[in-house]
Amino acid sequence: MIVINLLATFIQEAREYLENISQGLLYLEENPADAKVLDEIFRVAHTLKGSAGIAGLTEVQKLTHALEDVLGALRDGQIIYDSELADVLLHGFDGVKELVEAAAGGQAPTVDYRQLITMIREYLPSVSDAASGVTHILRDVDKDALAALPENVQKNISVARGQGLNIFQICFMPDVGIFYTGTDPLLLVDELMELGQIIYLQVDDSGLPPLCEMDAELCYLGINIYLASTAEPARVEEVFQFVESPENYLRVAVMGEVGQSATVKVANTLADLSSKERKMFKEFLKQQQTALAAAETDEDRDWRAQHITKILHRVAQNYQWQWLIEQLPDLPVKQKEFQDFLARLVELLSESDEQELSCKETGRKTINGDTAEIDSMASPVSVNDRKNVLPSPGGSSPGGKDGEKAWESGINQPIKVEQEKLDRMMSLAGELVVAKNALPYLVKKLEIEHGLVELAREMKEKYSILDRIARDMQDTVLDVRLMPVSYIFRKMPRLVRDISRSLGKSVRLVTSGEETQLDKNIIQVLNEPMVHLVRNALDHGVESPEERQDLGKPVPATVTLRSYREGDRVIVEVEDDGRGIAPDRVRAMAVKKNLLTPEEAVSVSDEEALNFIFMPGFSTNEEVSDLSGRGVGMDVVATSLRQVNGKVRVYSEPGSGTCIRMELPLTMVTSKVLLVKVSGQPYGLPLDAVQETVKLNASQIKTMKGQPVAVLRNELVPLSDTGSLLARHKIINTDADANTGSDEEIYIAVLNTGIGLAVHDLLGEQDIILKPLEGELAGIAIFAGAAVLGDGNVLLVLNPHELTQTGGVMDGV
Amino acid sequence: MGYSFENKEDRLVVQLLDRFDITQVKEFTADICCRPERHLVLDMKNLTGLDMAALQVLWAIRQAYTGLEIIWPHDNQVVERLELLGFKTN
Repeated sequence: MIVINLLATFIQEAREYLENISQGLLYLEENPADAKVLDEIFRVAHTLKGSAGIAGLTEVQKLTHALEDVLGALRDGQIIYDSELADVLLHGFDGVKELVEAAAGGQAPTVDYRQLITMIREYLPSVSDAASGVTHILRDVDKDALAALPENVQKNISVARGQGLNIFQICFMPDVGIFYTGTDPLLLVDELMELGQIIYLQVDDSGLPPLCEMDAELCYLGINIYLASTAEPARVEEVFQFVESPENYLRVAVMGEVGQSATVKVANTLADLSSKERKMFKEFLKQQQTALAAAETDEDRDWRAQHITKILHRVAQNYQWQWLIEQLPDLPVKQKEFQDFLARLVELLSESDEQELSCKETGRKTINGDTAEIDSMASPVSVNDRKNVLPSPGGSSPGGKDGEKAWESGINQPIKVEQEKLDRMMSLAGELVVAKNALPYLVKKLEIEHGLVELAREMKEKYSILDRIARDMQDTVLDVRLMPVSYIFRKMPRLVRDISRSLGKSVRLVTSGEETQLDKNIIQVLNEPMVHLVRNALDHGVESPEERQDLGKPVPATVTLRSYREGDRVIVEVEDDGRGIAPDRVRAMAVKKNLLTPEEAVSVSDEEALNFIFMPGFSTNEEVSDLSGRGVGMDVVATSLRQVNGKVRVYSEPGSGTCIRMELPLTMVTSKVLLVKVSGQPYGLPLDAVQETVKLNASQIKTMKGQPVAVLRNELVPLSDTGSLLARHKIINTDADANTGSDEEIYIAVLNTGIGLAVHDLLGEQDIILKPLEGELAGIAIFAGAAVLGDGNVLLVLNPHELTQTGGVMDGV
Repeated sequence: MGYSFENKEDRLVVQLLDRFDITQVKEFTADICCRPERHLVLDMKNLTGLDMAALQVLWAIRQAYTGLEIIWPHDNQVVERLELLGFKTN
């Protein structure tokens, strides 16, 4: 469905826009004088508003419009950006985000956008302050149109005027291409309704062609409105600020008590135009000349010429340029004459520029006081390239060769791909690698079982080519899935800002290594732990400003997010320079929660003790705050990281700070496993979990308190019998006498946890694509998943952590 | 979202569903112009929203079909909008 795709595209874009806006606003708080960033925020907000209109999300459009007003006032220097205004804007764009997410989920929005708009508007300068800014669309009342109104409407207007209301006479004839700019004129009507009561609205359908001749994506209707309102004229004009351009005919007049005559500007000649208006008009004409010259066929040229003529008619009417109306060529226009006409207009405008310059130089003043005042405060009318260049009749992009260049340069632009497609592509690349691995088995079979040596050799050659392509393809897909850590880091400034403000703490956020890349799935999993860690750092780690001052520590405190590569792993650290964690406090809590006996608590090292904070329900903080202290955060961190074969460690120095170090695999697509054999059955052990492998004689295995142990480099290594854990044949005989003098070989895979897993044989390493177990098997925690081997057999991959912690669960299976 | 056409006793019943807007108007006008029926029932009872592009298509339909029968939307807000825009009363 087109509509659904349109919405999906918008939502994807809107999330990016909002992220950029949020970052920009936070940056501005530190650098309020950076006009470029403010301009960029304004531009993005404007695009967001337009796109929302195209996607039919009017609430998003309206709320963004209100925020855009504030940004506009900020840009014009009418208001100052401070923390309070930053709160308003951030809160407002949060509201936009909620509306967007509600649309994404197909749910009704929970946010009251009207309330937000009211709140936002309070921060705008008063309308009267801005009134002198936007006046050049104000015209005298069209008395003929007024006289032609139905009697009852005229009566209603009189009543409204009697009540002291302003009556706005608005005539809006949009450009035919207005829908392409994402503007829905009906939304302007909605905005007007928010300002007062529409006494009369008449749709002008005089330009509407018959149904089957119309291009439904072009706009043929105009609107005439009579609005009764207490609003100042400038406020009404603001409604139209983004449609104010030469293509759209707009006339706003006011009847009432407002003394508009002093500010109404009527430009009757080119010389009376402001330099800004002249510049804008000249640019517009030049663009139309280019568009006309770029036409490839006579038909296209005629169409463009007629379109330009219509626009010029509107401009002439809008500015009441009788001279232009008289000079405009009759339709259909002749090409040569029309080009000459446009060139003459440009020339005239240039002459006016020179004339003004000359007047300035000689000290003569030709622009009256009113006009000068208006120019200095006039709101900018954007000359949007895309908007002003003619749309071609067939909808193709205009611009001839330039257009082609633009298209060519667009080829190398990034494109957006749905995540599902990427996952599917990755899955297929993986399947290809696995399918390819079956060929060596077949080659062997041909050679040994069928004696087809020559054919086997040829197949081997083809296999090597296929192998190379498959690996290249897999590498490429893996590369596509890599995302920078900045994807997570960029969300943190806002989090730090909001939390530190709510806690009354002063915190500086420092980030480094944002460009470090990780698989997108790992990035997604990492998001929640990062939020927990940053919250914890701010809530528990960082001291109050007073406390830091007393301790002689710098204010603000520093929270550092760091990321870097270490071999084939990525390290992400969250570090604060706060109060740190006292190992004795952790020990005491571990004893209290029966995780350690008092004796064990004494024997564990400080580093080991600190890592108890990752146990479920563990928190040294007695107080439960809104932010943290429930002891669930750190557990979530550890659990999330285990999901992606990651690890987490904590390093802390009481009084100096804490560093949480997360170690992550670069990618989750392929995993390396150690193939082991237990009772004739191969199993996989994640290679990350294995520290070393050793071969022992049975006689080297001892028993302590009934548990088998081995001595490796003078250290005791507790052993687990994988055969027993998997309910297969026992590997270790715990009868000490039976092992004495035995030369039976037992292979041990020593895990990172220090426990040795006894297996019957070691078969080597292999790259696999680990897939989660499904159905009833999904509940068996001792298996991390399964993979298909090259010979087509399924390999069960063990979860060593679960296997050794639970003592095997095969009993229950 | 969308629209549907149905022939009932030589009359074309056009149903507008949910929101009718710029994203559908081009296809819609092409579809309706292919239909041979000269009598039309414009069923808007399930219409929940429209934009200017949709409005002008409705306007053009009203000009194109004499004896047009209109089933007004159940959604009051849409009815109010059509009234304000002069579509219902004219």
